Amino acid sequence: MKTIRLQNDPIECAAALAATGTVEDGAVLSFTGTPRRDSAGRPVEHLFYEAYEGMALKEMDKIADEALAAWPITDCLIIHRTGRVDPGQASILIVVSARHRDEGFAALRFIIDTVKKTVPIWKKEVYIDGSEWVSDRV
Amino acid sequence: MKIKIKAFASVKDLCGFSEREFDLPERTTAGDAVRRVAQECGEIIAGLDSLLLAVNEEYCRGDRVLAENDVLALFPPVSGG
Repeated sequence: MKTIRLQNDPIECAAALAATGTVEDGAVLSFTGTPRRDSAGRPVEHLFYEAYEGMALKEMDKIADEALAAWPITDCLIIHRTGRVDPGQASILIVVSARHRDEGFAALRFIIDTVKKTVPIWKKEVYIDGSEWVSDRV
Repeated sequence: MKIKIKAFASVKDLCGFSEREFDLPERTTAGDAVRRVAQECGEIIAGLDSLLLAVNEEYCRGDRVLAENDVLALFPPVSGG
């Protein structure tokens, strides 16, 4: 099963984890990305995520398909937030399930690394006294 | 021919629009379209080595030839996650 979503609302991580995996699976693995409280010593109030929604969903879908083809995983879920995300909230949740943990860890690593490279989503750090697109520094 | 150009994140801030229609000559490439946007919205766009391009929601290069009603997106390196 494949679940791909962009959403403005907070991600219900526990519910998503509970809904992923089958009784055939021995491992359900998750990665949660969360905003850091500071960026190079500058306090971050919150993050703001902008997405090119249609293309972002397509790219996330491609990544999930690649992971499902490359490793024997059964379920793959990728949810990314848009809009304002506060420290302590999840900006992204990835969950995979597999019969064995090794392939699950490998797939999970591939998915988060590829999301960060190809999915058209951008974060802006918002400080008390201004804001900055993170990609400006690349 | 009519082309829709979308801009995102810091590139949107530089262009001053998130979506705009442009009337461009037939056989215009994505790179030509970027230079046209730069003429109108600030030369800095054309000089961005890191500028990424997509046509109809698929990544492309500057030499991609555009067709009527294509949607060209301009954006900086992605930073999601």
